[in-house]
Amino acid sequence: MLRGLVRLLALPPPAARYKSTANLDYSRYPTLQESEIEETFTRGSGPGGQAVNKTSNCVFLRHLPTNITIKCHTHRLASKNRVEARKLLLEKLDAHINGEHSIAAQIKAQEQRKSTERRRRQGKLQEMKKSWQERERPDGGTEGKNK
Amino acid sequence: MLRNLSLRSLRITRALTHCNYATNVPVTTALEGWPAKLKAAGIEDTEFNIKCIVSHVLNRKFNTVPDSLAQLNFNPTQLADFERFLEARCARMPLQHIIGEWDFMDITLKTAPTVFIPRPETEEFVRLVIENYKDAKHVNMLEVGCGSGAMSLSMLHTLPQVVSTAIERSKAATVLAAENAKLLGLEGRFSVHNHTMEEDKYMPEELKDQKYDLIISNPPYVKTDEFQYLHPEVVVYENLNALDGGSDGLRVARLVFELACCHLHPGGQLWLELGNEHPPLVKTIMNLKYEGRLKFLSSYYDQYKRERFVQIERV
Repeated sequence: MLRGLVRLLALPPPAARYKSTANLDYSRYPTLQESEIEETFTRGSGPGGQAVNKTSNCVFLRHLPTNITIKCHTHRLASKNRVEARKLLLEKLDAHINGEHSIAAQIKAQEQRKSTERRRRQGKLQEMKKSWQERERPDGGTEGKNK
Repeated sequence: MLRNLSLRSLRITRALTHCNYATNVPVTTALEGWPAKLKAAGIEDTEFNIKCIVSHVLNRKFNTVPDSLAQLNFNPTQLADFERFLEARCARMPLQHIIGEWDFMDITLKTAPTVFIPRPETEEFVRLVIENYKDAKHVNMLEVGCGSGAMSLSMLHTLPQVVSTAIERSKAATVLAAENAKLLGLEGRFSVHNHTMEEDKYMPEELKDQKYDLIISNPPYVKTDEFQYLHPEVVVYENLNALDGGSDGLRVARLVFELACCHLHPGGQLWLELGNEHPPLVKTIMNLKYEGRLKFLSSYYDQYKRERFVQIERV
Protein backbone atom coordinates (compact mmCIF):
# COMPACT_ATOMS: atom_id res chain seq x y z
CA MET A 1 0.00 0.00 0.00
CA LEU A 2 2.89 2.29 0.70
CA ARG A 3 4.58 1.23 -2.52
CA GLY A 4 3.11 4.23 -4.28
CA LEU A 5 4.28 6.43 -1.46
CA VAL A 6 7.82 5.06 -1.49
CA ARG A 7 7.98 5.39 -5.28
CA LEU A 8 7.08 9.04 -4.82
CA LEU A 9 9.69 9.52 -2.12
CA ALA A 10 12.37 7.75 -4.16
CA LEU A 11 12.32 10.80 -6.39
CA PRO A 12 14.37 13.69 -5.02
CA PRO A 13 12.28 16.03 -2.90
CA PRO A 14 10.84 18.93 -4.85
CA ALA A 15 13.37 21.49 -3.68
CA ALA A 16 10.89 24.19 -4.52
CA ARG A 17 12.10 26.27 -1.61
CA TYR A 18 15.45 26.72 -3.27
CA LYS A 19 15.76 29.11 -6.16
CA SER A 20 17.96 27.08 -8.52
CA THR A 21 17.77 23.31 -8.45
CA ALA A 22 19.38 22.83 -11.80
CA ASN A 23 22.85 22.54 -10.33
CA LEU A 24 22.01 19.92 -7.71
CA ASP A 25 23.50 16.48 -8.24
CA TYR A 26 20.92 13.81 -7.45
CA SER A 27 22.92 10.94 -8.85
CA ARG A 28 23.90 9.75 -5.39
CA TYR A 29 20.46 10.32 -3.81
CA PRO A 30 19.37 7.18 -1.92
CA THR A 31 16.14 5.27 -2.44
CA LEU A 32 13.95 3.96 0.32
CA GLN A 33 12.61 0.41 0.19
CA GLU A 34 9.65 -0.35 2.42
CA SER A 35 11.17 -3.77 3.12
CA GLU A 36 14.18 -2.06 4.71
CA ILE A 37 12.08 0.03 7.09
CA GLU A 38 10.75 -1.06 10.44
CA GLU A 39 7.82 1.13 11.35
CA THR A 40 6.27 1.27 14.80
CA PHE A 41 3.56 3.36 16.33
CA THR A 42 3.03 4.03 19.99
CA ARG A 43 0.23 1.92 21.43
CA GLY A 44 0.29 -0.43 18.47
CA SER A 45 -0.81 -3.46 20.43
CA GLY A 46 -4.32 -4.88 20.60
CA PRO A 47 -6.86 -5.51 17.85
CA GLY A 48 -7.45 -1.82 17.18
CA GLY A 49 -10.07 -0.87 14.64
CA GLN A 50 -13.55 0.29 15.62
CA ALA A 51 -13.18 -0.89 19.20
CA VAL A 52 -10.46 1.65 19.97
CA ASN A 53 -10.23 5.40 19.62
CA LYS A 54 -6.51 5.78 19.01
CA THR A 55 -5.19 9.30 19.03
CA SER A 56 -1.48 8.69 19.28
CA ASN A 57 0.25 10.32 16.37
CA CYS A 58 3.84 9.28 16.89
CA VAL A 59 5.63 7.32 14.18
CA PHE A 60 8.99 5.60 14.64
CA LEU A 61 11.04 4.43 11.69
CA ARG A 62 14.17 2.36 11.79
CA HIS A 63 16.20 1.86 8.65
CA LEU A 64 17.39 -1.72 9.01
CA PRO A 65 20.59 -1.65 6.92
CA THR A 66 21.99 1.45 8.66
CA ASN A 67 20.07 1.41 11.96
CA ILE A 68 19.21 5.08 11.48
CA THR A 69 16.06 5.96 13.45
CA ILE A 70 13.49 8.70 13.05
CA LYS A 71 10.80 9.80 15.44
CA CYS A 72 8.08 12.05 14.04
CA HIS A 73 5.11 13.65 15.77
CA THR A 74 4.89 16.97 13.92
CA HIS A 75 1.32 16.54 12.72
CA ARG A 76 -1.89 15.76 14.53
CA LEU A 77 -2.52 12.73 12.34
CA ALA A 78 -0.30 9.66 12.35
CA SER A 79 -0.82 9.14 8.61
CA LYS A 80 0.75 12.53 7.87
CA ASN A 81 3.61 11.76 10.24
CA ARG A 82 4.29 8.55 8.31
CA VAL A 83 4.94 10.59 5.19
CA GLU A 84 6.95 13.21 7.07
CA ALA A 85 9.03 10.53 8.81
CA ARG A 86 9.97 8.95 5.49
CA LYS A 87 11.06 12.32 4.11
CA LEU A 88 13.21 12.89 7.19
CA LEU A 89 14.67 9.40 6.92
CA LEU A 90 15.64 9.99 3.30
CA GLU A 91 17.36 13.23 4.26
CA LYS A 92 19.22 11.54 7.10
CA LEU A 93 20.21 8.64 4.84
CA ASP A 94 21.43 11.06 2.21
CA ALA A 95 23.60 12.85 4.77
CA HIS A 96 24.84 9.55 6.19
CA ILE A 97 25.75 7.92 2.88
CA ASN A 98 26.79 10.93 0.84
CA GLY A 99 28.19 13.34 3.42
CA GLU A 100 29.33 16.44 1.56
CA HIS A 101 27.62 15.21 -1.62
CA SER A 102 24.20 15.05 0.06
CA ILE A 103 21.54 17.37 -1.30
CA ALA A 104 21.45 19.35 1.95
CA ALA A 105 25.23 19.84 1.87
CA GLN A 106 25.11 20.86 -1.80
CA ILE A 107 22.42 23.43 -1.10
CA LYS A 108 24.40 24.78 1.84
CA ALA A 109 27.52 25.06 -0.32
CA GLN A 110 25.48 26.87 -2.98
CA GLU A 111 24.10 29.30 -0.39
CA GLN A 112 27.63 29.84 0.93
CA ARG A 113 28.92 30.59 -2.54
CA LYS A 114 26.01 32.96 -3.16
CA SER A 115 26.60 34.90 0.04
CA THR A 116 30.35 35.04 -0.52
CA GLU A 117 29.71 36.33 -4.04
CA ARG A 118 27.21 38.84 -2.69
CA ARG A 119 29.71 40.08 -0.11
CA ARG A 120 32.44 40.32 -2.72
CA ARG A 121 30.19 42.35 -5.02
CA GLN A 122 29.10 44.61 -2.16
CA GLY A 123 32.73 45.10 -1.17
CA LYS A 124 33.58 46.01 -4.78
CA LEU A 125 30.65 48.44 -4.89
CA GLN A 126 31.82 50.11 -1.67
CA GLU A 127 35.33 50.43 -3.11
CA MET A 128 33.98 52.00 -6.28
CA LYS A 129 31.81 54.42 -4.27
CA LYS A 130 34.79 55.41 -2.12
CA SER A 131 37.08 56.05 -5.06
CA TRP A 132 34.30 58.11 -6.79
CA GLN A 133 33.87 60.20 -3.64
CA GLU A 134 37.63 60.74 -3.40
CA ARG A 135 37.70 61.91 -7.00
CA GLU A 136 34.86 64.39 -6.38
CA ARG A 137 36.54 65.80 -3.27
CA PRO A 138 40.20 66.22 -4.22
CA ASP A 139 40.88 68.26 -1.09
CA GLY A 140 39.42 65.45 1.00
CA GLY A 141 37.40 68.18 2.74
CA THR A 142 33.88 68.34 4.04
CA GLU A 143 32.14 69.90 1.03
CA GLY A 144 28.53 68.91 0.56
CA LYS A 145 27.85 66.24 -2.01
CA ASN A 146 25.50 68.40 -4.12
CA LYS A 147 26.81 71.29 -6.14
CA MET B 1 -11.02 32.64 52.93
CA LEU B 2 -7.40 32.12 51.91
CA ARG B 3 -7.58 28.70 53.59
CA ASN B 4 -10.01 27.54 50.89
CA LEU B 5 -7.83 28.51 47.94
CA SER B 6 -6.01 25.52 46.50
CA LEU B 7 -2.31 25.71 45.83
CA ARG B 8 -2.94 25.78 42.10
CA SER B 9 -5.27 28.76 42.18
CA LEU B 10 -2.78 30.57 44.41
CA ARG B 11 -0.11 29.97 41.81
CA ILE B 12 -2.38 31.21 39.05
CA THR B 13 -3.28 34.30 41.06
CA ARG B 14 0.41 34.97 41.58
CA ALA B 15 1.04 34.41 37.89
CA LEU B 16 -1.79 36.78 37.02
CA THR B 17 -0.29 39.57 39.11
CA HIS B 18 3.25 38.99 37.92
CA CYS B 19 2.51 38.87 34.19
CA ASN B 20 3.06 41.80 31.86
CA TYR B 21 -0.62 41.75 30.96
CA ALA B 22 -2.33 41.26 34.27
CA THR B 23 -5.08 39.13 32.72
CA ASN B 24 -2.93 36.69 30.71
CA VAL B 25 -1.60 33.41 32.02
CA PRO B 26 1.27 31.44 30.53
CA VAL B 27 0.02 28.14 29.16
CA THR B 28 2.73 26.29 31.09
CA THR B 29 1.36 27.72 34.33
CA ALA B 30 -2.26 27.01 33.43
CA LEU B 31 -1.21 23.44 32.74
CA GLU B 32 0.10 22.73 36.23
CA GLY B 33 -1.47 19.68 37.82
CA TRP B 34 -3.35 18.63 34.70
CA PRO B 35 -1.03 15.93 33.33
CA ALA B 36 -1.37 14.10 36.64
CA LYS B 37 -5.16 14.53 36.64
CA LEU B 38 -5.38 13.21 33.09
CA LYS B 39 -3.23 10.20 33.89
CA ALA B 40 -5.28 9.51 37.01
CA ALA B 41 -8.41 9.55 34.83
CA GLY B 42 -6.83 6.86 32.64
CA ILE B 43 -5.72 9.01 29.70
CA GLU B 44 -2.55 7.93 27.96
CA ASP B 45 -0.74 10.24 25.49
CA THR B 46 -1.31 13.15 27.87
CA GLU B 47 1.18 15.39 26.04
CA PHE B 48 -0.56 14.85 22.74
CA ASN B 49 -4.01 15.48 24.22
CA ILE B 50 -2.80 18.65 25.91
CA LYS B 51 -1.14 19.97 22.78
CA CYS B 52 -4.29 19.35 20.73
CA ILE B 53 -6.43 21.18 23.27
CA VAL B 54 -4.00 24.09 23.62
CA SER B 55 -3.86 24.47 19.83
CA HIS B 56 -7.64 24.41 19.65
CA VAL B 57 -8.06 27.02 22.39
CA LEU B 58 -5.48 29.30 20.78
CA ASN B 59 -7.04 28.66 17.35
CA ARG B 60 -3.71 27.59 15.90
CA LYS B 61 -2.65 24.65 13.78
CA PHE B 62 -1.24 21.75 15.78
CA ASN B 63 2.07 21.75 13.93
CA THR B 64 2.68 25.44 14.63
CA VAL B 65 2.55 25.02 18.40
CA PRO B 66 5.88 24.11 20.05
CA ASP B 67 5.98 20.88 22.09
CA SER B 68 7.27 22.83 25.08
CA LEU B 69 4.25 25.20 24.87
CA ALA B 70 6.75 27.94 25.64
CA GLN B 71 5.85 31.61 25.21
CA LEU B 72 2.14 30.93 24.84
CA ASN B 73 -0.48 32.69 26.91
CA PHE B 74 -4.18 32.35 27.61
CA ASN B 75 -6.52 35.28 28.09
CA PRO B 76 -9.23 34.72 30.73
CA THR B 77 -11.74 33.33 28.21
CA GLN B 78 -9.19 30.96 26.77
CA LEU B 79 -8.15 29.86 30.23
CA ALA B 80 -11.75 29.03 31.10
CA ASP B 81 -12.18 27.08 27.87
CA PHE B 82 -8.91 25.27 28.46
CA GLU B 83 -9.94 24.11 31.92
CA ARG B 84 -13.39 23.10 30.68
CA PHE B 85 -11.92 21.00 27.87
CA LEU B 86 -9.45 19.31 30.19
CA GLU B 87 -12.23 18.46 32.65
CA ALA B 88 -14.20 16.99 29.75
CA ARG B 89 -11.18 14.94 28.74
CA CYS B 90 -10.83 13.69 32.29
CA ALA B 91 -14.43 12.57 31.99
CA ARG B 92 -13.18 10.53 28.98
CA MET B 93 -14.93 12.60 26.35
CA PRO B 94 -13.12 11.81 23.12
CA LEU B 95 -10.50 14.39 22.17
CA GLN B 96 -12.03 14.67 18.72
CA HIS B 97 -15.44 15.60 20.15
CA ILE B 98 -13.87 18.19 22.46
CA ILE B 99 -12.04 20.01 19.70
CA GLY B 100 -14.98 19.66 17.34
CA GLU B 101 -12.98 18.51 14.35
CA TRP B 102 -10.61 15.80 13.23
CA ASP B 103 -8.42 15.12 10.24
CA PHE B 104 -8.88 12.23 7.86
CA MET B 105 -6.37 11.83 5.06
CA ASP B 106 -6.17 15.24 3.40
CA ILE B 107 -9.43 16.65 4.73
CA THR B 108 -10.62 17.95 8.06
CA LEU B 109 -14.08 16.92 9.21
CA LYS B 110 -16.37 18.40 11.79
CA THR B 111 -17.17 16.02 14.64
CA ALA B 112 -20.36 15.87 16.69
CA PRO B 113 -21.44 14.20 19.92
CA THR B 114 -22.41 10.51 19.50
CA VAL B 115 -21.18 10.34 15.91
CA PHE B 116 -18.52 7.71 15.30
CA ILE B 117 -15.02 9.13 14.92
CA PRO B 118 -13.07 7.86 11.89
CA ARG B 119 -10.27 5.45 12.82
CA PRO B 120 -6.73 5.52 11.36
CA GLU B 121 -7.18 2.05 9.83
CA THR B 122 -9.97 3.44 7.70
CA GLU B 123 -7.54 5.89 6.09
CA GLU B 124 -5.58 2.91 4.81
CA PHE B 125 -8.81 1.37 3.56
CA VAL B 126 -9.73 4.48 1.58
CA ARG B 127 -6.17 4.78 0.24
CA LEU B 128 -6.52 1.24 -1.10
CA VAL B 129 -9.86 1.89 -2.77
CA ILE B 130 -8.55 5.12 -4.30
CA GLU B 131 -5.53 3.27 -5.68
CA ASN B 132 -7.88 0.81 -7.36
CA TYR B 133 -10.21 3.42 -8.83
CA LYS B 134 -7.96 6.35 -9.66
CA ASP B 135 -7.90 5.50 -13.35
CA ALA B 136 -11.61 4.79 -13.69
CA LYS B 137 -13.58 7.10 -15.98
CA HIS B 138 -16.61 7.63 -13.80
CA VAL B 139 -17.60 5.90 -10.59
CA ASN B 140 -21.11 5.82 -9.18
CA MET B 141 -20.47 4.85 -5.57
CA LEU B 142 -22.65 3.84 -2.65
CA GLU B 143 -21.45 4.02 0.93
CA VAL B 144 -23.30 2.04 3.58
CA GLY B 145 -23.08 3.62 7.02
CA CYS B 146 -21.18 6.80 6.24
CA GLY B 147 -21.08 8.25 9.78
CA SER B 148 -19.42 11.67 9.60
CA GLY B 149 -18.82 11.17 5.86
CA ALA B 150 -15.09 10.50 6.17
CA MET B 151 -14.76 7.76 3.55
CA SER B 152 -16.98 9.23 0.84
CA LEU B 153 -15.74 12.76 1.28
CA SER B 154 -12.05 11.87 1.23
CA MET B 155 -12.65 9.83 -1.93
CA LEU B 156 -14.55 12.66 -3.58
CA HIS B 157 -11.85 15.08 -2.53
CA THR B 158 -9.15 12.97 -4.17
CA LEU B 159 -11.00 11.61 -7.22
CA PRO B 160 -13.11 14.10 -9.15
CA GLN B 161 -14.72 11.36 -11.20
CA VAL B 162 -16.53 9.78 -8.26
CA VAL B 163 -20.06 10.60 -7.12
CA SER B 164 -21.31 9.18 -3.86
CA THR B 165 -24.66 8.27 -2.37
CA ALA B 166 -24.71 7.24 1.27
CA ILE B 167 -27.17 5.63 3.62
CA GLU B 168 -26.83 6.16 7.37
CA ARG B 169 -29.08 5.03 10.22
CA SER B 170 -28.18 7.75 12.71
CA LYS B 171 -30.00 11.05 12.28
CA ALA B 172 -27.14 12.94 13.92
CA ALA B 173 -24.59 11.37 11.60
CA THR B 174 -26.76 12.01 8.54
CA VAL B 175 -26.93 15.68 9.41
CA LEU B 176 -23.20 15.83 10.15
CA ALA B 177 -22.21 14.10 6.91
CA ALA B 178 -24.29 16.54 4.89
CA GLU B 179 -22.73 19.41 6.80
CA ASN B 180 -19.22 18.13 6.18
CA ALA B 181 -19.95 17.76 2.47
CA LYS B 182 -21.03 21.39 2.38
CA LEU B 183 -17.98 22.57 4.36
CA LEU B 184 -15.73 20.77 1.89
CA GLY B 185 -17.57 22.01 -1.19
CA LEU B 186 -18.48 18.47 -2.17
CA GLU B 187 -22.27 18.62 -1.78
CA GLY B 188 -22.69 18.49 -5.55
CA ARG B 189 -21.36 14.95 -5.63
CA PHE B 190 -22.57 13.62 -2.28
CA SER B 191 -26.01 12.83 -0.98
CA VAL B 192 -26.87 11.07 2.25
CA HIS B 193 -30.13 9.32 3.13
CA ASN B 194 -31.23 8.54 6.66
CA HIS B 195 -32.13 4.86 6.53
CA THR B 196 -31.66 1.69 8.58
CA MET B 197 -31.00 -1.50 6.60
CA GLU B 198 -33.43 -4.35 7.24
CA GLU B 199 -33.95 -7.69 5.61
CA ASP B 200 -36.00 -7.03 2.46
CA LYS B 201 -35.66 -3.29 2.89
CA TYR B 202 -31.96 -2.72 2.37
CA MET B 203 -32.34 0.65 0.70
CA PRO B 204 -34.71 3.57 1.25
CA GLU B 205 -37.66 3.87 -1.11
CA GLU B 206 -36.10 6.60 -3.25
CA LEU B 207 -33.02 4.44 -3.99
CA LYS B 208 -34.68 1.05 -4.42
CA ASP B 209 -33.99 0.83 -8.16
CA GLN B 210 -30.48 2.25 -8.12
CA LYS B 211 -27.41 0.27 -9.14
CA TYR B 212 -23.81 1.24 -8.47
CA ASP B 213 -20.29 0.60 -9.79
CA LEU B 214 -18.77 0.47 -6.33
CA ILE B 215 -20.04 -0.09 -2.81
CA ILE B 216 -17.86 0.71 0.19
CA SER B 217 -18.63 0.14 3.82
CA ASN B 218 -17.08 0.08 7.24
CA PRO B 219 -20.04 -1.62 8.91
CA PRO B 220 -20.19 -2.14 12.67
CA TYR B 221 -18.01 -5.21 13.28
CA VAL B 222 -17.34 -5.38 17.00
CA LYS B 223 -18.61 -8.62 18.56
CA THR B 224 -21.17 -8.18 21.30
CA ASP B 225 -19.00 -9.95 23.87
CA GLU B 226 -16.13 -7.53 23.16
CA PHE B 227 -18.21 -4.60 24.40
CA GLN B 228 -17.01 -5.11 27.96
CA TYR B 229 -13.49 -4.19 26.88
CA LEU B 230 -14.40 -0.93 25.18
CA HIS B 231 -12.97 2.25 26.64
CA PRO B 232 -15.38 4.89 27.98
CA GLU B 233 -14.53 7.17 25.02
CA VAL B 234 -16.12 4.59 22.78
CA VAL B 235 -18.88 3.02 24.82
CA VAL B 236 -20.19 6.18 26.48
CA TYR B 237 -19.69 8.86 23.85
CA GLU B 238 -20.03 7.05 20.54
CA ASN B 239 -23.15 5.37 19.26
CA LEU B 240 -23.09 1.63 19.90
CA ASN B 241 -25.10 1.12 16.72
CA ALA B 242 -21.94 2.12 14.89
CA LEU B 243 -20.08 -0.73 16.55
CA ASP B 244 -22.42 -3.62 17.20
CA GLY B 245 -21.85 -6.44 14.76
CA GLY B 246 -23.73 -9.05 16.73
CA SER B 247 -22.28 -12.29 18.04
CA ASP B 248 -19.72 -12.91 15.30
CA GLY B 249 -19.33 -9.27 14.30
CA LEU B 250 -20.76 -9.89 10.82
CA ARG B 251 -24.47 -9.25 11.38
CA VAL B 252 -24.47 -5.95 9.52
CA ALA B 253 -21.95 -7.12 6.90
CA ARG B 254 -24.40 -9.87 5.98
CA LEU B 255 -27.05 -7.27 5.22
CA VAL B 256 -24.52 -5.47 3.03
CA PHE B 257 -23.84 -8.70 1.08
CA GLU B 258 -27.54 -8.95 0.23
CA LEU B 259 -27.71 -5.26 -0.61
CA ALA B 260 -24.74 -5.70 -2.95
CA CYS B 261 -26.48 -8.52 -4.83
CA CYS B 262 -29.39 -6.20 -5.58
CA HIS B 263 -27.55 -2.93 -6.15
CA LEU B 264 -24.17 -3.61 -7.76
CA HIS B 265 -23.71 -3.68 -11.53
CA PRO B 266 -22.17 -6.93 -12.77
CA GLY B 267 -18.41 -6.49 -12.51
CA GLY B 268 -18.92 -3.87 -9.83
CA GLN B 269 -17.04 -4.26 -6.55
CA LEU B 270 -17.83 -4.29 -2.87
CA TRP B 271 -15.06 -3.20 -0.52
CA LEU B 272 -15.40 -3.69 3.22
CA GLU B 273 -13.38 -2.81 6.29
CA LEU B 274 -13.95 -5.45 8.95
CA GLY B 275 -12.46 -6.88 12.12
CA ASN B 276 -9.15 -8.67 11.93
CA GLU B 277 -10.51 -12.22 12.03
CA HIS B 278 -13.22 -11.65 9.46
CA PRO B 279 -11.64 -11.93 5.99
CA PRO B 280 -11.34 -15.75 5.99
CA LEU B 281 -14.93 -16.03 7.28
CA VAL B 282 -16.14 -13.72 4.53
CA LYS B 283 -14.35 -15.83 1.91
CA THR B 284 -16.13 -18.90 3.22
CA ILE B 285 -19.51 -17.17 3.22
CA MET B 286 -18.98 -16.05 -0.39
CA ASN B 287 -18.09 -19.58 -1.49
CA LEU B 288 -20.92 -21.28 0.39
CA LYS B 289 -23.77 -18.84 0.00
CA TYR B 290 -23.11 -16.45 -2.86
CA GLU B 291 -21.73 -18.61 -5.65
CA GLY B 292 -22.68 -17.11 -8.97
CA ARG B 293 -23.56 -13.81 -7.32
CA LEU B 294 -20.58 -12.54 -5.34
CA LYS B 295 -16.95 -13.57 -5.64
CA PHE B 296 -14.26 -13.01 -3.02
CA LEU B 297 -11.32 -11.39 -4.85
CA SER B 298 -8.78 -10.50 -2.18
CA SER B 299 -8.06 -9.40 1.35
CA TYR B 300 -5.59 -6.71 2.47
CA TYR B 301 -3.72 -5.65 5.58
CA ASP B 302 -3.92 -2.36 7.46
CA GLN B 303 -0.87 -0.34 8.61
CA TYR B 304 -0.74 -2.33 11.85
CA LYS B 305 -0.35 -5.53 9.80
CA ARG B 306 -3.87 -6.76 10.54
CA GLU B 307 -5.83 -8.48 7.80
CA ARG B 308 -8.94 -6.35 7.68
CA PHE B 309 -10.03 -5.29 4.22
CA VAL B 310 -11.92 -7.40 1.70
CA GLN B 311 -12.55 -6.94 -2.00
CA ILE B 312 -15.58 -8.67 -3.50
CA GLU B 313 -16.92 -8.68 -7.05
CA ARG B 314 -20.49 -8.86 -8.31
CA VAL B 315 -20.47 -11.75 -10.73
